[in-house]
Amino acid sequence: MAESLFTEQELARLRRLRLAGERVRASALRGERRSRQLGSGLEFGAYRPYSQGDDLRRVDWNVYGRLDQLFLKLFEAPGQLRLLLALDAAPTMDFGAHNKWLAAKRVLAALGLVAQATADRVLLTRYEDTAVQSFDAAGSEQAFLEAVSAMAISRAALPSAALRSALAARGRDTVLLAATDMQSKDGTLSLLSEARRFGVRAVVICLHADEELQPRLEGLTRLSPLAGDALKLRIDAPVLEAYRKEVEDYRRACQAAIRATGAGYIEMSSDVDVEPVVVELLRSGLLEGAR
Amino acid sequence: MLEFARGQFLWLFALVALFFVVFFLARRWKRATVTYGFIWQRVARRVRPPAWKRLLRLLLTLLVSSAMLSSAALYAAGLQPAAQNETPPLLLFIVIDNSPSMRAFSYTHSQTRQQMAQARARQLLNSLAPQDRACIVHWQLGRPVAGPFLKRGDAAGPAPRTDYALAQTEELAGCFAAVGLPPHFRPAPEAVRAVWLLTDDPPALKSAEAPARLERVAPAARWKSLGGLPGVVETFGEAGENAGFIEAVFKPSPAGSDDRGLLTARLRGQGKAEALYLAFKWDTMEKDARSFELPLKVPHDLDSDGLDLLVRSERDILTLDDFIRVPLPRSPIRRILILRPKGEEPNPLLREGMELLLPGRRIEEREAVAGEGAESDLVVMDRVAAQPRARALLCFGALPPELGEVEPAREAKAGLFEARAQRPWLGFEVPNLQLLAGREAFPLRPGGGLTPLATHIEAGVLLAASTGERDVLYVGYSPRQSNFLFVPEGPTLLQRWLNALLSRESAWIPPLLPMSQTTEINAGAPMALEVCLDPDVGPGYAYGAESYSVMTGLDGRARLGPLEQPGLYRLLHQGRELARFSAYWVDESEQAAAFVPLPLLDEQALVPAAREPTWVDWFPEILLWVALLGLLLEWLLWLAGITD
Repeated sequence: MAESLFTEQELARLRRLRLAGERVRASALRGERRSRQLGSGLEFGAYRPYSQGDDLRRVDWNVYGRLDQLFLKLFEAPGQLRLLLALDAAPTMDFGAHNKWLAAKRVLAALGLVAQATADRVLLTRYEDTAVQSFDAAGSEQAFLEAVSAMAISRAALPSAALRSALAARGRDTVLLAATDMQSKDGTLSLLSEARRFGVRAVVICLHADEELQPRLEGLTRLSPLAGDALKLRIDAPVLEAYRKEVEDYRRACQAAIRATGAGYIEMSSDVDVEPVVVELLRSGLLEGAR
Repeated sequence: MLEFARGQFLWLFALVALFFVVFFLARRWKRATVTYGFIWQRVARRVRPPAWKRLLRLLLTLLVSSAMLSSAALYAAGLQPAAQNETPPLLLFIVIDNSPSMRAFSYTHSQTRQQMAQARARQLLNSLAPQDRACIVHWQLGRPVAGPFLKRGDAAGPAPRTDYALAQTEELAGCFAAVGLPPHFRPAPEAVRAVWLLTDDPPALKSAEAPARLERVAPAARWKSLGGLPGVVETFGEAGENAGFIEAVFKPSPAGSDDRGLLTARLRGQGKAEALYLAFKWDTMEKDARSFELPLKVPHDLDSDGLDLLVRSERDILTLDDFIRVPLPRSPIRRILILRPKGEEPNPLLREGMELLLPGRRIEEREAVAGEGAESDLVVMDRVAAQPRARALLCFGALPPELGEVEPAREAKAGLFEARAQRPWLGFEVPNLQLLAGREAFPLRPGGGLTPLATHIEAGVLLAASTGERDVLYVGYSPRQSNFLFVPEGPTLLQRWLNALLSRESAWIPPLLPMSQTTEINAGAPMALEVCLDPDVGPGYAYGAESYSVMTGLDGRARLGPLEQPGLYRLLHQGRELARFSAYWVDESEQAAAFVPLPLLDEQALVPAAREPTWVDWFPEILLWVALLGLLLEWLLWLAGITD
């Protein structure tokens, strides 16, 4: 599964980025980093499905008794950064010759891998998922990548209660990374409002495909939007120009709305490499947690 | 309103709407999957006209298309029933008068009556209803002849030739009955038969009742009975004066006279007669009288043997009787001139020989002098290449340059003639020449205008001849240095040639005679004769025989005539022309070229009256107008910015 997200060369480059992350960690032992969250020490964080290589001592046997499924019980240590990776799985994400959905998964997976290297906890979820998957530094890279790969497009939905509770749990040590195309912006903006309320730092990676900004359409066309009603239109240069202007205005408004919530905003084309984006995020210090 | 479009199928223009509808239904929308659906919706709201505008335009388009298509379909389905279907078909006999007076010229219309009648026939043909037929009738040798059935738009064909025979109008009924009915004529209702006579001077006819369908064509008084059918008469031309010959007689001069004969002519109308010698304009004579006598003094060397009689008149309307060619008989041989080389003594044998062969003629003999003209009926040239003016030439060892050249003298032994060509058209037979011999023989050089008659093995062509306007006999032997005048062959040859020459002087037939007259041919002996019309002389373009075969009786006499058309005729025997004569046309009633003016009738009334149109008839046109107005409205709405 991991091969579908990254090639071996890309994984090699990401591992080098992990080494850079480990150097950051060398300055302080796990837990020594000052946590943004005030209060208790080791405490329950979240569950995640068991995957091969996980420590069996962390399996919650009570849950296994109830559900007949293996789940790991994850605990958060004080000063540990939680990286919450939230994916907008709206149907509009599944678009473009360079698919936006794939690009979103790639960029979040890359960031998750780097975060794992810094012994931070990585939480992974789609907006509407009822459970948040958790991966810590001890977890395998393979399990994380498979979890990301397994995510699929669903219908557009508002962020679930699980996602909100994940934000509320240890808000100040949490960094929210949301990958979306902002075409159903209400969900993202409400998520960002929640994050702000709980003091969670947030960054929105706004994806777009080239065909969306520069559609190559002409003549009598029956348009079938991935979300919304179909319509017939005779497309010519003035129509295209009007469309481009509308899209530009919309994206500008989204950017302003995101920045108004205090969140970071990164615009990314689905056809660009994820590595520069990861590097930019690392340089921005977003993954430095309570530093 | 749009009736003109029906015939030319212009209404098929409405099928343009079909193309429009097909295009409208066949247009294809490309499918495209997009995101930002709400933005596309917003853009569409902005760029697309509102629904009511689109609906309005669609409705207009559908209205225009359906109106045009409906109109086309209605036209194609024949919603407008033709009014003609309810009326009986018409079989119209168009009788064209082609008598000589129809060749009279109208100075007002710059056409002959015949041409105007022909044009009118074309008009009538084009005025027929589609189911009607016409049949053009004209006269040949006085009898009516019907042409093929014609329908509207067919060509009327060329104008009929002139028929000099008197028209037998009583035979029209038989002609109409024999014609029958055209193919594909519907049995019911029964066809209407009518006659339309195109002439210049209508005959007296009984009144007739107008056929039911043709009442609008002419007032009741104009309907006459023609060949048992109701008919109308139209006349063409204008009244005018016709000057022309009504008599021309040629009397040959008695023997011994210097004149060739006396020409007497009589004219009708006002005009001047003019006699014009063929090829001698300076001998033109004018006679300003209605009758005259013209003594003909024709030179002996006249190359052409006739003269033309013309009538000149101001605004003469008929020219058929204005011209007569008078073929003159050959001038007789009365004088003989013998030319000998300069410095030579006269040849008594030659003179005596001519006296024996042509007794009673005046014979003159002299040396040839350069530049001095030689004129006589027969000129004998003894080794002298002069250019005499004479009807006949007998040349010994020399020729006028225009007839050919001779080679230098050589010896010609007896018994070496290899061939004697017989030329029937010369009128004489070449005798046996084997005894002829001479120390001086002048062979004929090839390429001259004479026909070789006998060839000597060593010397070449020594005997040649030609006939026609001037008779020539060439003998290659010198009269002095040969035995031509001593052995019988020479004088025999001369005798036969002169006999043929003199035979053409005889009067076979009078040179002028009216074509309706019977005349006598005197051949002198039983023989088969042929009479042929010369197509190049005379009025021509007429019906009638152009050649006749005549067999004389035992006494050599035969009767010829009446002839069927005027002109110059040749009398032939075995291809040899014996005489010419002119048959001229005289018909006092036709020459008067009478004209009775009758106003032209309304040929458009030949088409049945159309019934009153109803809305059904106008419906396709109304639909077309609706379509046109719809298009206009659509354009105006677009122009006003109401629709896009």
